[in-house]
Amino acid sequence: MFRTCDITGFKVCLASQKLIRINAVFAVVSLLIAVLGAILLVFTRWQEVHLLSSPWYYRILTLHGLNALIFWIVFFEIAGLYFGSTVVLNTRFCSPLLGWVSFILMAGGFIMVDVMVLQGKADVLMTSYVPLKAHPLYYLGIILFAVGALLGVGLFFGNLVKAKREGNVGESLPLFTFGLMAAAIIAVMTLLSGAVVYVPTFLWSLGLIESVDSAWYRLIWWGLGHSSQQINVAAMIAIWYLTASLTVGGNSVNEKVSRIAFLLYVLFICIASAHHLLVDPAVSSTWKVWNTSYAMYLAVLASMIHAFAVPATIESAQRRKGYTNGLFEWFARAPWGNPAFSSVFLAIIGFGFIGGITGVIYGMEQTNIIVHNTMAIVGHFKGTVVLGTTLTFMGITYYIIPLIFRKKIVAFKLAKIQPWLFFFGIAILSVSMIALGMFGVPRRHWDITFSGAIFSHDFNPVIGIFWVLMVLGGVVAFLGALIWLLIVVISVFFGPAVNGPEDFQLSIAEPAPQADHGHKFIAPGTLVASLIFMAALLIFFFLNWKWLSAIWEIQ
Amino acid sequence: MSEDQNTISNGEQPKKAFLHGLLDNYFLMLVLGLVVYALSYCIWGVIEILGTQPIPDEIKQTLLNP
Ligand SMILES: [Cu+2]
Repeated sequence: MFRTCDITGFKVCLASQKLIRINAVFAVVSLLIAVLGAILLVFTRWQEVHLLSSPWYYRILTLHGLNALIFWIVFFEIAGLYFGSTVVLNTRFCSPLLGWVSFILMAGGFIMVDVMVLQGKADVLMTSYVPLKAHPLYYLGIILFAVGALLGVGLFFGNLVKAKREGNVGESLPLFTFGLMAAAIIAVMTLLSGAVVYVPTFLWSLGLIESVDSAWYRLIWWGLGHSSQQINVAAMIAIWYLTASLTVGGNSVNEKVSRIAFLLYVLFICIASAHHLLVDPAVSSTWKVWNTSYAMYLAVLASMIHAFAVPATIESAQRRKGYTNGLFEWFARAPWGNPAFSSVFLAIIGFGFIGGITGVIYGMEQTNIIVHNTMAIVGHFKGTVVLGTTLTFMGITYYIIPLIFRKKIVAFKLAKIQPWLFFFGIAILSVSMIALGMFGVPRRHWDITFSGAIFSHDFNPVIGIFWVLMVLGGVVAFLGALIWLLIVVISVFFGPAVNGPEDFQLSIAEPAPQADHGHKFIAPGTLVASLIFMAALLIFFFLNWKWLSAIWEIQ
Repeated sequence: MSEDQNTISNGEQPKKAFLHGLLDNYFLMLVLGLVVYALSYCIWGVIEILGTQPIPDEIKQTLLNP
């Protein structure tokens, strides 16, 4: 059963549409929990307020981590995978029944885990490093969620096979679906690691096996913990390309290179999990350095390709439409009134300048030691996962509401401001956390005054400023997230229906006209922006090495 | 979205054909991705952990009963 979308012309499989909707709804619920947790944590870490008690701090931190990094993102990705493998390919869902089985497993797991955590039976943080032990239902919940997600990923591949067999897609997948496919492959590696690590841990929590080796646990757990964030990166970039096409009619300036960059992710991004073990005594430096630099830089190269290709795609489309003045007219005349566009562009900037630069430097064995286990790491992944992935997912939701839920976006004016609020909030939060980490403030720590401890430590008093900035950024971001949540929930459940193209508040751009210039460089503005990025990276790189040499003096 | 523009119609064939085939073959991509990850990260990592010397008994005792 299909409906033909009167806005996009896609044939939308109704069974698929239902599955996309339900997964998206659960994603939003997870994000709501994560965001409520986040604001409590911000006001606890700031010792002037110190809101939560110590047990509740660790409890909410566990809750926040799981809901933000796993549930919100994976539910959303499953919705995205279904969208990219059915709607975009004009294909029916291969097995709606299994789609529901997958959803029920995931939803069941999600509820079990959150209930266990809130009951105080799993104060183990997201990493649940053994020998910390949670209630067996906590591990079982995670296993169910992972199995459900793996099934969902399998259905994505099933849909691809079906689309190919029915001739809805040629030899090569569209770039958006190809990017999702890379994400799905990384998801398989991630979820297999999850199964390998959580099944024995579950049995151990039941008392069926005596112990789980803690070094082994850390190794395999990070194969899950890190790689899961690389599913996000691949899915996020797929959405960047989609958004460039939807909002300005741009097609990748060189699709083949973009595809190769996704291939590099598939091949080399999961091994970067090693950067979480950079101070681990059980693995050697050779292993650490190989996995976090030599081979991993191929994945960094891929990110750089995408970070250049997506803005270049937008720029070249804009230039072909006639915005050719100077270096940046294309940028000034971009569709900033479209909240999906502004979200994605801001996400690219945040992901590159904050998440990317710190990622390369903190992922290196030598410079990592300055910030390992400090707030700087948290600041780094706020830059990647929140500014990058979450903001991107928020942005594309503005298309999902009218196209999949067939509802108008309520408070559309507010929706235009929302990405900016969220961006600046998280950017300030993230940079302040990075600064705090550089002054040695530890992460995952309830009381950095160390009251009652047998030692004392005085931080540089300047950190007071960064705490205030962090709280300020946190509050602004909280408002941005809350506005997004309200817009989404009210639109989807109470909003006016979209009855035809006249109710569509965004736009779907015509493909930009073909280029007519011969050898002119198509994206000079992006090139200049990339050079600025390079300079920022080198400066921060240099500063960190300089600093390292000051900390570890060699004579 | 357009099809892949870079086809295998020009001169230097075999390498390009392989890459092109790989990009269109997601099961092969999955297998290669798994192999790299399993060898470079998991198996090598586990070998390193297995090779770690256990903590000498005297030190263990002093740590456990200070
Ligand atoms: Cu990581």
